[in-house]
Order: sequence, then C-alpha cells, then structure tokens
Amino acid sequence: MLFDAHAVTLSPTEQFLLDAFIVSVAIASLIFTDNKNKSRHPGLIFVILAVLAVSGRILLDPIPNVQPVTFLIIMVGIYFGISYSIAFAAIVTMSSNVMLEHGLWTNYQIIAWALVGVLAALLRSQFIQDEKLNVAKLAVFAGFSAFFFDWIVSLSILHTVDTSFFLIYLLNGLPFDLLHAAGNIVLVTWFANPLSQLITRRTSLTSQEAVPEVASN
Amino acid sequence: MSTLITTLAVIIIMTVLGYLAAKDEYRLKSASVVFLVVLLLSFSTLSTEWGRMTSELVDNDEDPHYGLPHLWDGKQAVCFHFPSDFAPSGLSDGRHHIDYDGTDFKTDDSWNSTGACVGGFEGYDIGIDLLNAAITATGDQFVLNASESSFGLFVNTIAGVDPCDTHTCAEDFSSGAYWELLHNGAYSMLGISDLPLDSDSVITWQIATY
Repeated sequence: MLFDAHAVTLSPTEQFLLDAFIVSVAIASLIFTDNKNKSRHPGLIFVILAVLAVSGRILLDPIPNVQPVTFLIIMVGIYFGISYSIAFAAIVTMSSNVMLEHGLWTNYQIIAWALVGVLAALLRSQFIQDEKLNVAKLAVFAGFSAFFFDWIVSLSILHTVDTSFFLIYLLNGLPFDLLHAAGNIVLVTWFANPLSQLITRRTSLTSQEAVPEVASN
Repeated sequence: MSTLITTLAVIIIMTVLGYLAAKDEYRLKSASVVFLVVLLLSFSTLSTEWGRMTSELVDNDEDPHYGLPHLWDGKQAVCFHFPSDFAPSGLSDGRHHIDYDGTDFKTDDSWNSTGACVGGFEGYDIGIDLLNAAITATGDQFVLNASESSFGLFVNTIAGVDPCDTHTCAEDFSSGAYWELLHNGAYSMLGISDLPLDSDSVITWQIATY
C-alpha cells in the first residue's frame, strides 16, 4: 500500500506544467546568480558535480536510502551559493528521476534538497574556518540534513492520509533516516576535502571568495 | 525489543572500535565506514524490529484491518478469537499480534476478545493456505482438528478448544456453538478450503452460537 505522493496520479497536463515550472526555476537560478561566481566560470565543475550526483544516485539506488545527492548539494551550497544549489537540486532530481521514477514526489525531493543547499550556504562560515573545511562540523550537518530531507519528503504522505498518521510514519522511517545520515557522514569524511580542493582549484575561487549570495552584500 | 537493543548495541560498539582502531587522522573516516557497513548488514533486523515496536493499531472501524497493526497494512492476517476463559496459555490478557515469523510483538488488552492475530503474510490466494501458514508460523499453537463433510472442511477444535466446551450444545442439535469463519469482518459464505483471498485479506475464526 502506498501512502505518499506515489499514490497521487497527475494528469499529463498537470505533470507538464509542474515540470515546466521546475525547469524554469532551475534556469532562473542559474541566470540570476551572483556576479562573483559567474565571473569565475564555475560552469564546468558545476556540470561535473551534477553528473556525479545523477550517476551516483542511480548507482547507489539498490542501497536503501544512501543518497550522494545530499552530500553534493551541501558542497554546492557551501561553494557556489544559494541560487546554484536550487538549480542543482532541480536539475539533478529531475534528471535522475527520469531514470528512477518521476512524479509528484519529485517536487518534494527538489524542495528538500534545495533547502539543504540553502542551509549549507547560509551556514558556510561554520564549515570553512581559516581557509580549511571543518569536516567534523560538516559531518554533523550532513547527518542532520538526512533527517531534514527525509522529513520534508515525508510531507507528501499528507496527500493521502490524515495528519494524525504523520508522526507514526516519521517514527517508522527512522531506521531509513539513520541509513541516509550514515551515508552522508561517510561521504563527507572521505570526499569533502578532495572535492573542496577540486572545486576551489577548478573555479579559481578561494574559500574566502566562494560565498553565498546573501552574504556577498 | 531485546533484539533491537542488541542490534543497536552491536552497531555502537563496532563504530567505537572502528574509531579507536584507526590512527588519529583516519578515525572519523574509519568510524563512519564501520557505522555504515554494520548498519547496512543489520538493517533488515533493525527496521523489522523497529517497525514492530512503533507500529500503531488501525483505528478506522470500517477498515477490515481495524485493530490490527499498521505494520500489516496491505498484507494478510488470520485471527483466532477465544472466550476469555478458554484462550490458550499466555493469550488470555487481550489480543496478541504475532508476526509471520512467530514473533509476538504487540498485545491489545482493550480488544473485546482474547486470542491472537497472526499476520504480515503476502501472496496467498486461498484461505486454507493462509490458515496453514499462520498455524505453522506459531509452532502449531493454533492447530486445527477438522473433518471433511459434503459442505467442505468442518472445524471441530482450534488450539484444542471445542465450541461445545464454551457453550451448551443440545444433543438434538437444536442449539449449539461452532467455529465461525469471517472474511474481512463479514460472515464467509464459502468454506476455508474454497475461500478466495485479497492481497490484504483478514480471516477471523470465532465461536458463534445458534
């Protein structure tokens, strides 16, 4: 029995309008990003990260709830800022769901991953100190992001069941949330530093320059 | 519950060992990998035990699964209801919920009868097959004594309980008691041997009088 947005079927027109809106948001986010990032040509590494996220998500799909996208969107949030992370969430989720499964739940995943990226961008100064990535703090945030993402996506259950069932649903899903958190922490501890070096080298951005838009004023 | 605690303890101990066994600069990496690997290896047990512990009962009385754990939503179950004085040993304090592997994980002591429901089954098409699976899962605790008749299988006793032990049965059969079969809460017009099932059927055996 499906409880979440998998149980809601959209008409082709509704689905098209929703998809068109998501693609528009992704394009708008890339166009209206801050000038500092654009001038540094972060496009190539952004595309590489998006390809990594899509392929990683599909590759790790057989493992329950280990999501490389969450880790990568945190890195995009930190190094590219808010608008890039929104675009990243939309592009990666849409692309990978075409191969996995696409429907109303795609929207919840995009919103949840975009919010994780926005939060990472806003908390960036906590993660980069003295030009170095604080992996321990980032691991804690990545663990928290797993629960945050899963609970936002779980809101889709409210399409089909009463709110009174929501807490029970969240409670039942805790082992899956824990697995997502463990996967995020492993990816952060192993790959955050190498990826950080790759991003700063390829974009010519120093840690000081790579700031979220809200902080650039 | 104890399985859940043991599993969590193993995960924590292994993670700590993974942390302590590595050099300082690799401790986070080592501990996180050990945590993930042990979690993945024990995930089936962990999620099953956690689901059993946190599962609430269906409270919609129009749902055939009314009173059963949400864990069994979309799955098949067999219930055996006994008069309170005649429930098998250990089942007189309410309605027990026993999972497909025989684990008794939840008791509803406010249910209006005593006994047990055995559930979490999938893929059974005919009632007798589901019933046999439920009996096997509980280690033959609810074994049937039945006889073939021209109308099909007639159940004499379940778990050794004869309806005529619980109610007065007249020798001329003008009044008596019998094991009644319900399918999704309604009296079944078909015997258990011929009863076609849904993917989430609930079969109930209870004593009725005439």
